[in-house]
Amino acid sequence: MSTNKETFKAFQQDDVLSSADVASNVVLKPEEEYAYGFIIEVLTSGLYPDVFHVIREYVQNSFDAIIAWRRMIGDSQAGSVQIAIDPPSIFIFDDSTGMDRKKVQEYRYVGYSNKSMGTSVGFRGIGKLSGISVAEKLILTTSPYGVAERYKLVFDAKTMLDHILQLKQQGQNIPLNELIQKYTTLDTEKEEADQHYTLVELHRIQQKSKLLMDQKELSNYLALNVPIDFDPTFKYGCEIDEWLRTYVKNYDTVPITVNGIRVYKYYLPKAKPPRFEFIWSDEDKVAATSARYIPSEIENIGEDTNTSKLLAFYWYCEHEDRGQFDDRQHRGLVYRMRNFAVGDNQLPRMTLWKATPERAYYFFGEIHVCDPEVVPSSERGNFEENSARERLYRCGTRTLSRTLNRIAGASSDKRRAKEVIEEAEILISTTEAEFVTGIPKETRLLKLVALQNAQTGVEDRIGKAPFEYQQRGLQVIEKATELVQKLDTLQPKQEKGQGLYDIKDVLGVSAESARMYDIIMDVLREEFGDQPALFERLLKRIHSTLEERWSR
Amino acid sequence: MLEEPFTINKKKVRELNLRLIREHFEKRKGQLRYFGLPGESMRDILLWKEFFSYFCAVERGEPGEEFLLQHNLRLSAFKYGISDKLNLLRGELDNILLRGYDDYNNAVEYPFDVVTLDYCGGVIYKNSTGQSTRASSIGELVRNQALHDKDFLLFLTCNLDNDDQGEIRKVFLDIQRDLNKLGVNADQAIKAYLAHPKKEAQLKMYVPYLIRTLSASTYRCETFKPVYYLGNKETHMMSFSFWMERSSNYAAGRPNRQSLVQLLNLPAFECMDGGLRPTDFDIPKVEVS
Repeated sequence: MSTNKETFKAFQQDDVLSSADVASNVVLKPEEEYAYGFIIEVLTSGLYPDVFHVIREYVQNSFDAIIAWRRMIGDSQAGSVQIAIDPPSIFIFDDSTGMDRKKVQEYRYVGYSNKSMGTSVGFRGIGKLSGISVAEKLILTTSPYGVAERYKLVFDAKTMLDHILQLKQQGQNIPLNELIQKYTTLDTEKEEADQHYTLVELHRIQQKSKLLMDQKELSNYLALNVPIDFDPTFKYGCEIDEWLRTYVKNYDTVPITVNGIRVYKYYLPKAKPPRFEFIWSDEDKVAATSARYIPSEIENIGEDTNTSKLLAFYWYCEHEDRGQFDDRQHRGLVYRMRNFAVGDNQLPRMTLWKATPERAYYFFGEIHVCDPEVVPSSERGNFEENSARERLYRCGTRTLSRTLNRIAGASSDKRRAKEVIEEAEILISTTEAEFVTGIPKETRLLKLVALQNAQTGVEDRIGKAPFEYQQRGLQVIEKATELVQKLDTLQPKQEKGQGLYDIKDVLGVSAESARMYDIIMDVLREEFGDQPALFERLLKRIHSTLEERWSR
Repeated sequence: MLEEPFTINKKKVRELNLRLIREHFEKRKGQLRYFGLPGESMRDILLWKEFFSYFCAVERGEPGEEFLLQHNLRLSAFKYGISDKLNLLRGELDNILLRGYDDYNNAVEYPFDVVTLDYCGGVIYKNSTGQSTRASSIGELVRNQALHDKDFLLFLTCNLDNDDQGEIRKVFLDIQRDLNKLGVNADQAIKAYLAHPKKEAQLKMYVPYLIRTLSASTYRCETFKPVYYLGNKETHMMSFSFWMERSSNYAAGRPNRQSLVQLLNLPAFECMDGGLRPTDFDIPKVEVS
C-alpha cells in the first residue's frame, strides 16, 4: 500500500487536479484522505435492488451521449444502442460521440459527473461504476469522433472488492484514490479518426447476477424502462409518440437491440384510442385544461414562473371491453422522466389514487414528468422527497386520478347498463317462448317478479347506456310491461284482486324491511344474473321460506 | 480501417478465398455460416460478410489478459455492424473443437459452410505425449461437419514452424509406396520434395495429405493451389484451401476425385507484394502411363 504522499503524487501525475478538482473547488490535502475504499462497495452493491438497473445505467449514459451526438451533427435519427449477451459477458455499445481522454480519466472519479441535472438522465456519476457490482471486470473502450485514438479503461472489480473486504476483515482501510489507481488501467490505442463509439463490457457476470444473461428478461425490462419506440404493431403508437414529442420537452427515443433483436416499448391489446392530458401546478389551470387543448396555449410551458407550471403530461388507453387489464406487469400508468421509467406501475397507483385504486388498472399509459425540480432517486424506484414531488403528487391526485376514476366509473356504468338491458332482453325472449309452451303455474309468480325487476333495472340505467342500447332499453321496458300485464291476467283471482303479486305485500313487511329485501334482491340478481335457473330456484326458496317463517 | 503492416499478401489470399466462396456458394449468398479465427480486426469476415448470416469466431487472447483481445474482437463486430451475427468463443481453438465448447461452456454450433483455420503456428504441433492435438481437432471438426452432411470450404493458414520428428518424410515415403503399388513411379518427385530446401515445398504436399487422411471416411477433399507468402514480422506463411464434398453415402475410403498424382503435381503460388507467381518448386512431374 502506498503512502498518502505517493497517492497524492500519483493523483497529480494523472492530471486529475486540472479537471475535476478545479471544477468543484476541492483542495486536496495530501496528508488527509476523505474517502476510503469501502465506499465503492456501498455505492455499487447496495444501490441497485434490481440487477437490471445496472444495464439501465449504461443505457442512460448511451442515451445522453446519443442525444448529444444528434445535436452535434443535426440528425435526429442518428445513433443506436446495441446490447450483446455473450457469456460470460454483456456488452453495451453505442455509436455516439465517444469520450475523449479527459472524460475517460474522469470515468474513474466516483460521484463525479459534468452532466447537468436538467439536461441529462444520469448526473450523479455513480451509475457508470454500477457494473462493478455484477461483473468481475468492467471494460470500457471509447473513441471520440475526429481523434485517431481509442481509450481502454479496465476496472478489475473483483480483485478490488476482494482487497477491500480482506482489509475490512483486518480492520484496515485503503484510500479511495489509491484503490482506484491500483485496480484500474487506462490505455490508448490507435483508431480510425472517423470512428466514434463507446463500448462497455461487463466481463464475467457473477453467479448472483446471472439473470442479466436471460435475453427475454432483459428485453422485457428494457421494454418497460428505457426510451425506445413503441412497438410498430401498436396502432396508436405513432399518435402517442407525436403528442409526446410535441408536448414533452426532452422527450426522445433511441433504437435498442438485444442480440440483434430490436426492443420496443410494450403496449396492451384491446385498448381504446389514447387520450392526452396535462398536470398543471395550479388548480385554475387544471380546471381550464381538463377539456381540450390548443397547442399554442402552452408554447411557454414551464418558462413563465408567474403562471401555472406544467408538471407532467400523460396519456392513457382504457380497456376496450371491461374493467381491469389482466396483464399485471403492464397495466396501469408509469412515471417517466426523459422517457426513462421511474418506479413501476404501482408507484402512480400509490401516489395518486386516494380511493378506488383498482381503477388505475382499467388503463395503461405513461405520466411524463416535465418539472425539472422533480428528481428521480438514485435507484429510480421513486422521486427524491422534496416539495416539487409533493406538488406533483398533489396536483396529479386532483387531476389524473380523478379524471381516470370518472372515466372508469362512466365506463363501468355504461357497461352495467348494457348488461342489464341484454339480460332483460334474454328474460323477455325466454318468457315469450314459454308463453307458447305454457308457463307452469308455480313459476308464474317468479316470472312476474323477475320481469318487474328487470324493467326497473333498465329504467334505472337506461340513461347511462350507449345510444343504441337506449333504443333497445326502451323496447325492453315496453315488452316487459306487456308481459307483466299478460302474466298478471294468468294469476288466480284471489291474487288478481290484489294487483301484482309481491312477497312484500303478502308478508305485509315494513318499509324498511321492504327496502332491505330490494337491496338483497339486487345483489342476488347481479351475482346470479348469468344463471337465471339458479336465481329462480333461489328466489322461489327464499319466498317460500319467508312465507313459512315470517309470521312466526 | 486501420492498416496493419505486411497484410498486402494476406489480403491477396483473402481475395482468392473470396473467389472460392463465390464459386461454391453464390446461390446461397447471405445465408452462410462461418467458423474461424478472424483475429480482433476481423479482416476476412469483413471482406466476405455479404455471404454470411452467422460468424462463429474463436479468440484465445494473450495469456493473463485474454479478455482484452476478446473484447476487441467484439468491438470490431459492433463497429462494422455484424455483432448480431457473431458468436464469440473464448479459448484455444484445438481445445474448443475437441470439447465442442469454449472456456465458458458456449457450444460450437455446427454445421458451417466456411471454416477458416488461421493458425499462428505450424500445423504439425504436437503435445507432450507426441499426439498432434491440431490434427485431432481438425478430425473432430470434420466428423461433426459430416454428422450434418455438410459440404464446406476449409481454409487453413499456418507458418512453417513445426516439431517434425520425421513425420513429413514418413508421409512422403507412404505416398511413394502407395503409388508404386498402383504402378506409378513417383520416386524422382518424392526425392525432389524431400531434398527441397524450401519447407513450403514439403508442406504443399504434407498438409493436403493430412487433411485428406483425416477426412477420408466421410469427405472427398479437393485441394486448390496453395499460396505461400511473407506475413507479419517476415513470417513465412502458407495458405491452403480445400473443397470438402460430403460423400453421398458413408462408404469408407471413397476415392477422391483428385488423385495423389494430381496432388503431387499441383503447383503453388508465391505471393509477393500482393502479386501471384505460380511455381512448381522445380519438382519433376509424376507421369502416369
